[in-house]
Amino acid sequence: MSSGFPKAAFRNTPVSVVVPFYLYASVSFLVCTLLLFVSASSFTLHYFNPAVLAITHGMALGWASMMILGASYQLLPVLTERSLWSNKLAYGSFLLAAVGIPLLVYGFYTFNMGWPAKWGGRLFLLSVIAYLFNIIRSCRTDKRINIHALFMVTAAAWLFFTVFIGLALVYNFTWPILPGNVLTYLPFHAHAGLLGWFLMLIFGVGSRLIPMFLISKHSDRRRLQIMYVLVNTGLLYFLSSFYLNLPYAVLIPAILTGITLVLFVGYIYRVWKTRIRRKVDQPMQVSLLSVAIMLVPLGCLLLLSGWWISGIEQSRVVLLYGFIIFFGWLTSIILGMTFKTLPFIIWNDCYHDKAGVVKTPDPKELMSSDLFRLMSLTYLPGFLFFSAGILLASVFLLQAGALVLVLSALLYNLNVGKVWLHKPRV
Amino acid sequence: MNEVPDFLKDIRPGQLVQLDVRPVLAGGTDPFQLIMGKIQELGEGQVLEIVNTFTPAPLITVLKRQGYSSYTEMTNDQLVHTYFYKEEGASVPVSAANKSIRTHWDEINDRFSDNLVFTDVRHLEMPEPMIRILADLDALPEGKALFVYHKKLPVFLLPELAERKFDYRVNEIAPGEVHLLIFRP
Repeated sequence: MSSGFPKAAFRNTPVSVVVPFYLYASVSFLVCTLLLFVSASSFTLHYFNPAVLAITHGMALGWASMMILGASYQLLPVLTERSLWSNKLAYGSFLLAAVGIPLLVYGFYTFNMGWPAKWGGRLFLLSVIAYLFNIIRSCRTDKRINIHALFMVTAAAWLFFTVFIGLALVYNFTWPILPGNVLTYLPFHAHAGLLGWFLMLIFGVGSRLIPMFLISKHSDRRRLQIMYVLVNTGLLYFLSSFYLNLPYAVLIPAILTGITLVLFVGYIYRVWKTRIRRKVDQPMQVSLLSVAIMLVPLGCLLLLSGWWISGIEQSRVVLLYGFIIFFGWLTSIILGMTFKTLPFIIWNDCYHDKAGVVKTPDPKELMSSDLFRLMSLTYLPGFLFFSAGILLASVFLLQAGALVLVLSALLYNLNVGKVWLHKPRV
Repeated sequence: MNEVPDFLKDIRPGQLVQLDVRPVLAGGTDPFQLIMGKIQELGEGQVLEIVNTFTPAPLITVLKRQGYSSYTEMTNDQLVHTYFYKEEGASVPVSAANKSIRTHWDEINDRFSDNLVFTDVRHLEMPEPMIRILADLDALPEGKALFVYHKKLPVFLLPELAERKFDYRVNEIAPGEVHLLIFRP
């Protein structure tokens, strides 16, 4: 694999590019939990309502996507061993998204698809194009296709597709450009995002990072390739079923996705069994909780694919499905992974030149494990109360759950702030 | 094409050290170490000539930082000749921090000079470097130190070292070329 002379040594993406994404995402999470609290009663209505749309997009874009964009810019050079193609473009994608997301969320919250929603969507689409272009250019010269990078690039392409359809849906309110009922498009928009973007990215990155954090050399390229094919086939089947009138439009993709999820959980289980690090720290425990939560929405999906529920019950299961995905699966992996990455990023910035010369603090010491423990302890009941509130349509449970989640988000923000503001001690 | 620099215009026989890296590359080995070794052996006024099939742009950057001027020419037989020469008085200012890193490194390197176990993890994909190093440390005999050739400072390894009560020194040769010395304090 040697290129002869020192391979143009790859550089870490600068802290000034990566950290704004982390900070933006943290604040978005807090804002979303506050919105959850003030509009708790909206979760007893049909899922297509302003508050739910606003919160979903705040979580999907402001929290999960911003965090993933930032982490990807940081991780891609590590995975492909080459520098990011353009740091300026990466920062540009931050600015575009940072302005676009609040406009879009505001548009949904007030249910006005006028200029704020349109500009929000346009700016976010531009941000995604900048991201997609940058990561394709960064991977382009790799001779051997790295499966992890392939997951990342394909995920970015699905993100582009998702946002494109999303923007078309926003336009559709002013100028009907899409034939038929808007509600029929929502599942496509949502699942291109959930499976194509989030799930694929977590497969690609998680299959590399989790072994690294648990210190296991387990690797199974073949299994990852199968997962790649299955999840994409499922998604394409789901999308084409709309035009081609294919049978079992939900069941077949749900089964294919289910198999990939089981394969992924199995992968992580093998990593767990072969790990060298016996003691697993708290952020890792929370991240692994996410791997288990992954299987829950599948149950909802199977429930929805059948004929046995309809009407308001169906709408509740859809709400629960979305809530578990955004506040359960994605949130728990981010809560954990933030503290497996951010302290190291900041540490590297503060102490890289001093390592091995003077006594430097352990990267873990940059965060507060007390704050982390309190955050985990509030997060879980908050999540469970709110989920129960959706199922039972109880405003009290919804509000109680949301309030505890606000507290958890606050503790998370305090801890992120502590890491970010760390000043070199030596 | 740049003008031929002065250091090459009036070069005397014996001042030119030639190194053809094509056979090394053909054998699948990275000639970086070899070149760095040769560079350090250069005497007063000597010039190192590297013969290869392409311009070693990263090498030029690395050596420029260390105060070496370079000149590249392509000959008719499609070979690239790169000349390196240290201009007099062009030594790179060594910062206090750098100096202290050197001292720290040398002290430990000298202490274990006859008791080093070498491991090269540069060709391994993440997370294997860390696994290899930890396995090597498990097998490290008492009184010996592990010398690691790495591509970068392994940030995630450092807490593991602390947990296993190992100390370490770092010597960053160039971007993409880091040496580590891991030992029991």
